[in-house]
Amino acid sequence: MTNLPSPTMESEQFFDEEEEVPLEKDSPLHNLILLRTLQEIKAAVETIDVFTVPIPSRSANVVLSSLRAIVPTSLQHLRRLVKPCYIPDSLVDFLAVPTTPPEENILYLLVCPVTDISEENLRNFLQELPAFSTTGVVPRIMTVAVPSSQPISAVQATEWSAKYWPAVYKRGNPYGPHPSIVSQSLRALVDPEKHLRLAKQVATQAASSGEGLGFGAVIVDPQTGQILAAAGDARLRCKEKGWGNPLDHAAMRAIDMVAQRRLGRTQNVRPDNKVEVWDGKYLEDEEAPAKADTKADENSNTENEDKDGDADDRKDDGYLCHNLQVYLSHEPCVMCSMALLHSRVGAVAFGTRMTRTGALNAEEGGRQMGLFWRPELNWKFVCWQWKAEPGEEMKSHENVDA
Amino acid sequence: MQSALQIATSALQSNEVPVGCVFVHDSRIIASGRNDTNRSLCGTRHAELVAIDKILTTYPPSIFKETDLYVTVEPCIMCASALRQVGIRKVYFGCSNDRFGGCGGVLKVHEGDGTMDVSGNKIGAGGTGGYEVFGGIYSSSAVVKLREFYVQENGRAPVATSKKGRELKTDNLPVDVDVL
Ligand SMILES: [Zn+2]
Ligand SMILES: [Zn+2]
Repeated sequence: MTNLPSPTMESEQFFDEEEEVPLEKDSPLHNLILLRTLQEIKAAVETIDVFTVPIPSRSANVVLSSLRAIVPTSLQHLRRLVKPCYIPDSLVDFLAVPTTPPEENILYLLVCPVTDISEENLRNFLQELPAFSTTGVVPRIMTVAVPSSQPISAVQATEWSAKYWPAVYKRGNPYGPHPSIVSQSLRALVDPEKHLRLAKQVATQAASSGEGLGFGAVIVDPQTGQILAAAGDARLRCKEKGWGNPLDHAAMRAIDMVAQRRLGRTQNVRPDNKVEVWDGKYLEDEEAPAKADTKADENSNTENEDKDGDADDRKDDGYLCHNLQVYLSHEPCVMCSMALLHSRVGAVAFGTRMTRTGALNAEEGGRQMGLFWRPELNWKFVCWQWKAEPGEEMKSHENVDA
Repeated sequence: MQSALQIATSALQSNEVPVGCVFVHDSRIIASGRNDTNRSLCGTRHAELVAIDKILTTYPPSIFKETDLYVTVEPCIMCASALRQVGIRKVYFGCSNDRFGGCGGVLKVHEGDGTMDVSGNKIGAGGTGGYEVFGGIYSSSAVVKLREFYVQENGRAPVATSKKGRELKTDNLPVDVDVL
């Protein structure tokens, strides 16, 4: 009973108000466009046919509880009983919504998906109820299309209410990151502009050195603000053998670097392929967090880690890249995206979208894989694309896995 | 495949998730690999990538087009993509990996343009060079090893946000295998 919307409430709101504190106008965070998840995109477009029938408002609760005996309650994101004035304009003619209040007030009842009961059975059932049997009025059953899944934001609920059927936004998001997680993660990003710039710098450096393609990755520890790794693509680096490793992508290398920091110098992350450690040289002109160790580990892997105990400063959280932030010049390929998931990173922001090879974006015009947030996978992270200023966009090898 | 299973056993003894693989070229094993994520503190050091690293110290990447992989567990999405990018010829695997599998378990990275999910929803464009996969070879031996490991318990993993319980499931794969 408690969940039933009261048919008499006059100015009921269709959704909960968000208590979001908006970003300041000139915040660089406005440049970060949140990626929608695969499910969110699906939820935004899928509709389902449902039965609706006008009923006398005074018998609304009786009809509702009687119906519960024959059809399951579903579609909790939609108003069960709607006053004529809240019926969306697009349905007013179709539903023959009375323009002037009739003598006896009516409500439009959203019955159930058309797959739950036949129209004939529903009509017979309703006709037996006192609401109809006393007057002999034949129930006017109609079919309308409504969104099949719940709205993911208050804005979407408002849109749906105006277009399909009054919708309820219940705080939360079953198809993607909860709005409060998004805003927390966004505010927790450590100078994304600077770190994305650094990712681009290492990308440029990789390309100009001839060691790799122009892709770059930076990994930052949000607890300390420290850059743990910055790596360019290195798939063309030949060494003495005369060939490179086609899997030495920027993100993979950056993940290796973080592990090598943690592992110390006594062991190698990749016994057959030496892993360098970020030496901080791109930060010379930046107001970098004044961490002494950015210079110290130039030659050995992690000389300083042993001294200041940095390698283990995260304790329980030091598992893989748990909740670290990753900044990438380009949208990563399937391998790198899954590597970020395996490493349990917390947030990812990338510059250029890779429509043919990128595995994070779920929107049309790309591979639509949305690997950053898929229900089947046991780790998820929040993901943004940095909106480049005109001319700032990095040229990309669009057919290549970044 | 029996060699791969032996290598998986050695991983088990080193407290790694017991996944092993061998790469075979001209009927000869050119490299083997086992899962190495716990020792290396690196979530990407899966058996397949460890072995690919070894191969590339001796052979050029072109060798992969005449090389087949035998691995005890279906390659994950990351490894399935890596195998595609190096241009592997064929992949033979033991048990399937319905939590992270990239060769049919969750996604089908190996075929078409690599974007298909298990229900065959195909979207997106581009991509060439898939490879053939053959699963279910000594599948139960591979599963038994994984079970043994999860009885030992992978104590390093933090509790994931959406984790359902840590009990062993009786179906194909134990829960919490995130390092395959
Ligand atoms: Zn990549
Ligand atoms: Zn793998």
